[in-house]
Amino acid sequence: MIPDVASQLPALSFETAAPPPARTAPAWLAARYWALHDVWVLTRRTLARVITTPEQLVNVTVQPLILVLLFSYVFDGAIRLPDGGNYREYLIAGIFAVNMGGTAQGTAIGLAVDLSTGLIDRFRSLPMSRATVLIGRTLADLSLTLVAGLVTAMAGLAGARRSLARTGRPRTGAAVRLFRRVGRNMHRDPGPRRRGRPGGRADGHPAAVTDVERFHLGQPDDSVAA
Amino acid sequence: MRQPPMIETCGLAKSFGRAPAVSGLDLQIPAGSTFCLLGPNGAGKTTVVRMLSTLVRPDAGWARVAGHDVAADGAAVRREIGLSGQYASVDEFLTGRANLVMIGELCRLRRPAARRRAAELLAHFELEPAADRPVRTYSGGMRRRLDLAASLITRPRVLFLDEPTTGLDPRSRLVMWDVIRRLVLDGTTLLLTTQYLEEADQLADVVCVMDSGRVTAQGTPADLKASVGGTRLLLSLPPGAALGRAAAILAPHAAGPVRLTGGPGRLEVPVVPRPGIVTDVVKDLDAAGIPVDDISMRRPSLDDVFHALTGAGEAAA
Repeated sequence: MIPDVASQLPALSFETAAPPPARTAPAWLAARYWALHDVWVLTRRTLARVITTPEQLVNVTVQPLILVLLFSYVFDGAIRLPDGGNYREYLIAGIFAVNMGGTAQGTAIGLAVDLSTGLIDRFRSLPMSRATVLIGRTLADLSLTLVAGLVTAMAGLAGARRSLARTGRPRTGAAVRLFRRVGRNMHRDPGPRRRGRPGGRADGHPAAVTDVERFHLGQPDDSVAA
Repeated sequence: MRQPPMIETCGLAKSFGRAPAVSGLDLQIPAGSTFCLLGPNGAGKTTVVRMLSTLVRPDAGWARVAGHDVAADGAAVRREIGLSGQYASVDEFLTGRANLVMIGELCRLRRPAARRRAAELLAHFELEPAADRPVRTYSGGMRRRLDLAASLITRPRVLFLDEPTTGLDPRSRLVMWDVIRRLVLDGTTLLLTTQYLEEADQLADVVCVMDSGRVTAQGTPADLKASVGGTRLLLSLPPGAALGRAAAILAPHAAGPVRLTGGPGRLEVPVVPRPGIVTDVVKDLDAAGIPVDDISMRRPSLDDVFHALTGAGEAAA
């Protein structure tokens, strides 16, 4: 005989369910407040999953390290840049890009899983703002990407220290080189806006470009030319 | 009716591609009642629930839940409903408690209130021992109960349960039924879908049989049973018995034609129940020298309704 389960269950009261929020603020302000609130709740949800399944952290800690080591030591010398120079200077930026792509993929897969298990249907049947399902997850994954970026940057800095100790001079970062090249091409542009710019020199170079920089940018790489 | 119905639909229709999932559904569900959509797989039950809970937009017709139009005022509908079952789920990687707190907060409870409410529901659904384990370690019955708890965080006036006991073992099913009965006592209006006739019989005030997106019958379980015929007497005679002669003897007792049913030596006699009918039948057969192996009275079940109605639909298709 099946026991009468209902009589054993503790009484369920609904008194703790909160009354609807007081409508003192204007409606649009309240809507924005609750949207932010929902985003925060859902961001915490994705981050809380990291606590119950810490394996997820492997993606953002071990994987970038492995990539840095793999491309700097194992594949070292296998990749040549067309205009000479050391590809390691582009390495860290490249691994940032790989991490970002990987996390975006994780976001997409996570959303697909939520969709197929019906979790998103649950959210959609709640009185919450609907866009927050996407925003919450994106923010959480973005914060995981920041961890990956930090790990990559530290690995890159550690590698740079070693290479500095070996060669004795700092290597110009890829980003800095890129900006300088863009800058050089721009100041060669004979557009009317640049002509007669205050502080510009007679030959059209902005004052900011120093001779040292012109040496770095303008000279072909001796080692490759040789 | 003085009070407007809690759920009301008129000509509600939805099709996916060219296949109509639901066509022309008219429902009126009074407040505080339990309404059951009964039908085989693909009958459109889930689509009806998804339309009423604002998850999909109807193609035609309109529906009102707690006085709000599902298409025009979805946000107001969502404040009044709870949804649980086949398609609304919980986060497998969070603990049961974290799931309930999260949904409480999304329902705009403050955090301490959400925590209190989660603890209360966990106790109510006997989930306390497992409250701090990830949901992926739960059994099917525990997960369903958590799911139901999640839809009860704020007291919904209308609750949609989409196949709440599909895939549960008999004991978990009985627990679920008890839980559901208690909810209805509180005055919640319940729309239940199920493939199980017994479930509809046990829980529903009104049963609506759906097949291929249409309502084929609607009424109380008692009405529906009455519609497919009354009580029958089932007789089992030993092999080689004179079935024709037996049928002739039974004819005066029968309220309709005596039928041969499945299996050798089995007769089905529609009867009007009256005291002493079984002994009369046995006496007459005995007097004619026809032995009887087994005799039983059978009241119509919702099974009969279901087979009579959905079977006809299949034959026509």
